[in-house]
Amino acid sequence: MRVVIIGSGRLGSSLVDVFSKRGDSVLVVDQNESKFIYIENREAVEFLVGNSTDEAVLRQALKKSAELVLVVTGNDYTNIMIAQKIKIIDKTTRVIIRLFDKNLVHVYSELGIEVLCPTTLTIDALFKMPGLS
Amino acid sequence: MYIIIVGASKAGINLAKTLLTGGHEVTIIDQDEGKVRLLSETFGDTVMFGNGANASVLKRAGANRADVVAALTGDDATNLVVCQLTKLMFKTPRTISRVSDPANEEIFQSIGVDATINSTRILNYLIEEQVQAGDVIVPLFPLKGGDIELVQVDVAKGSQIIGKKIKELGLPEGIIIVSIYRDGKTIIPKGETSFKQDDEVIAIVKKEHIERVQQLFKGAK
Repeated sequence: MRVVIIGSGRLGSSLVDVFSKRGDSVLVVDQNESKFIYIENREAVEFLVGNSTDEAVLRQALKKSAELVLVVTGNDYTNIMIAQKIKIIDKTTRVIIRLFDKNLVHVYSELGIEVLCPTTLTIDALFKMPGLS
Repeated sequence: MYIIIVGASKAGINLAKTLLTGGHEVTIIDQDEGKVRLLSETFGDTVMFGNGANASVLKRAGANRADVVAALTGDDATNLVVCQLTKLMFKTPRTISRVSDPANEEIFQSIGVDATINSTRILNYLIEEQVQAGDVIVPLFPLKGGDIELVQVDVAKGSQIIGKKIKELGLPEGIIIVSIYRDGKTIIPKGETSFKQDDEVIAIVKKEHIERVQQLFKGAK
């Protein structure tokens, strides 16, 4: 599978490693080249330095059509903007974004953007722990 | 009217002043606590601390009864979310956004933001054309498709159209005069309507005719 990961912070770089170890074709984008140092499994990965709110950078990232785009920069609003720009470039691309603000989740889910919210996931996981359910 | 302004930028503060003077109800939201404290000395309860892209903050600000929400922070992505949230959650009738990167205007329009203000584009225009006062065509709103714009232009002193009727100007098809603001009144013009100095004119103009509009309205050297 062809996967594009936007944002190479703690989550992004871990995702790069997970997908590349599975044998998927991975492209990672970050505007700050130094963020790529967190990636361990470097051989099979393509790197792109650029600001992903910039349409030209997104088009470059999506040049080989991707089956999955994960938008995981540290800023919710940036992730939202990027997701919507990708949908304008290619409606059919599957885009999943990370949002910290749980209040934004249902708004953007209703708009057809798939969202992962660490806040909700942590709370859910907490109450599945022994003695807390 | 009730207007919520997100982002206590210079533009935001000046807009608030103008609106308050005009008798409107205003709330300014900013997430810089120091700024909010300072501003509340002048504006009192009109200023509110919080993240204007957060649904519960907007709710406390009364977004559900706001007639207009203006997103004027310096960050395009934040402004996008402010407009989208207010449209979807609070059904705000009119959203206006500042857009810093001209390339972002398309996405703001595609999500249904009613008006975008692009200071970069206005500044570029001013610098490129080295315009004199009265020669400025202010782009208000690019209409869908991009090659037609709603613009505002003032009739400069010495302009060739002063005293002339619209029908005498021989305007091409791509220029429509929409309204003329004169002496506190807005006129919906007809062919017989003539121009006066300092008229504030709103027009729909095809991009290829922008220069022609400028020729007509500009002052004599």
